[in-house]
Amino acid sequence: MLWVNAIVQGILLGGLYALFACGLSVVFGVMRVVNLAHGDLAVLAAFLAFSLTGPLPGHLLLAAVVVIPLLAAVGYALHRALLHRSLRVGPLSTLLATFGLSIVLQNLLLETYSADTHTLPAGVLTAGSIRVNDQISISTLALLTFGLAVVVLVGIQLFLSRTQLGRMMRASADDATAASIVGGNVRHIYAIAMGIAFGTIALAGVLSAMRSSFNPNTGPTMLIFAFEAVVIGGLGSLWGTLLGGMVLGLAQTLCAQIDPALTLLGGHVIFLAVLAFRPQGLIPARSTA
Amino acid sequence: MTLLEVDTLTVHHGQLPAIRELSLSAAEGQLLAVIGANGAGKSTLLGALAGILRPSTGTIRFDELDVTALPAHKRVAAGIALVPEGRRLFGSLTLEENLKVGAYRRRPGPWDIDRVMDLFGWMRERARQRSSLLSGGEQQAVAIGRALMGNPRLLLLDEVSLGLAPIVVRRLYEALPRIQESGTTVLVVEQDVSQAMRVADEVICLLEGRAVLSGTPVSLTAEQVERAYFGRGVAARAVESGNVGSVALDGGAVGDGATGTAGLDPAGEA
Repeated sequence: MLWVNAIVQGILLGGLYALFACGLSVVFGVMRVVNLAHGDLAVLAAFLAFSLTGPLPGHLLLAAVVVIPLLAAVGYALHRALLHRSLRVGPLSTLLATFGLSIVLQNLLLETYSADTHTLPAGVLTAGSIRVNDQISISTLALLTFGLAVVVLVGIQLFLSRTQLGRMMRASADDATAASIVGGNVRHIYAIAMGIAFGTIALAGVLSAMRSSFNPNTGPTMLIFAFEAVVIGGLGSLWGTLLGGMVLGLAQTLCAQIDPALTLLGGHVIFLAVLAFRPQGLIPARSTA
Repeated sequence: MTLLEVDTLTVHHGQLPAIRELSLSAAEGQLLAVIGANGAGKSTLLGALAGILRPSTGTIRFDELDVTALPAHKRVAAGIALVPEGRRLFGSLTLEENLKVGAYRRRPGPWDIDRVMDLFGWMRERARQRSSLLSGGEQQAVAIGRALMGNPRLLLLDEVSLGLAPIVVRRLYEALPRIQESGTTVLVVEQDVSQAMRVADEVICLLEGRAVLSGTPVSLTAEQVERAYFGRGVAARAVESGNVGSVALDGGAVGDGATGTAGLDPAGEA
């Protein structure tokens, strides 16, 4: 029964990883950019939510409602002002630009909030749980996180496949010049993709901060988990990202069941195994070739 | 009424002027063909008209509006659609999705997904197929359909015949009069002179970025066209090798005769 519990918790934890990873997946899938500031943006969202809930304790929902659109707007503006320019120079320059952004963010957070570890008080959400039987009980927060992850991923998938803007986004990913001659303003479209990604990062950052503590240096660890989920699932494939998150979560909780010291190692080993034996990921994206 | 007016246009490819002080105009509803050898600047001209290449000097006026500085996506909204060389379909999207993307900045007009699928009947059965799995001729038809979905006033067709079997090319060209009937002005760029001469109201021949000959197909003799196509010096050799159509289909001979770039290299004048 302990193992069943580990599997259930692993899948639920996977939801959080998938939510972290889907922004990375969208940005990579649409414009072939790896955003190295991804994790730091999640931490930024957590700190913003922390600042907002300070004067209004218990209004975490309100904080999320403010932080998510705020970061989405920042993402849109950042792409138009900075990243699109670096995209024209080449893939290496976007890596450098986002790497620089990561350092700037970490230091700004350090300056503003100090190196202390913080938590987001989520009240009833943190403590609440659903008891399945004597050995298994499911945390309300973990269940909520998993549910939101599925809703967000399905939502993005539907947006990409069913709406005119979503189709144009996929078209721009295939061939940006061809997209412009059928009327797509590629800079605007890419910026929207970046905005969507930043919005999901904000949601993931706030949910993660309710679950565990964070400080200005937590970002890179989060980036690694997100990156691993994306690679395990298959680059640029959203269903793959959901599966990748769950595989990563399962690997961590199952290894923790053997020995808690193995938690992180388990995830990394699975990641390396996928890279070595199935580098296209579990569910590869549809190729354009 | 004049729909498109190009005035002393120069477009550079790096240091090299690919189009040199070219002027031309197209009346509304006309089918204009621009012919020329590989490297004559035909695709560069279309790139500049569609807004993906910036001209160095000169102006492009569309419906009496100066569009020279307008970016590509705004020209689509104004009513200019390009079917690019090499088709450039969105390979991970289905046939139907490619057509739907074409309607992103749809103007009011007769063309919609049903009408395009009427024009190319086979499309209904293959609508859900990924466009990268279609044959070259089918992809070319989808590329034309995708451009029509926006209801353009001016349709720019770049090298429709490139890399396709003659019978496939003939079928694609059979669709052009029906496009023209819907009121769309069409500008085709071709190396295949015989196809272009058959459908065009007016023909312009480019040589090294300049217009060296223009007129209606009936007013031009094969010899005149050959001279213009190859340049003066090599005209005699070209005449020996047969009529205009067969010469034009032979890409290699065309290339080394006129410009020194050989063959049907699709990247040659991108």
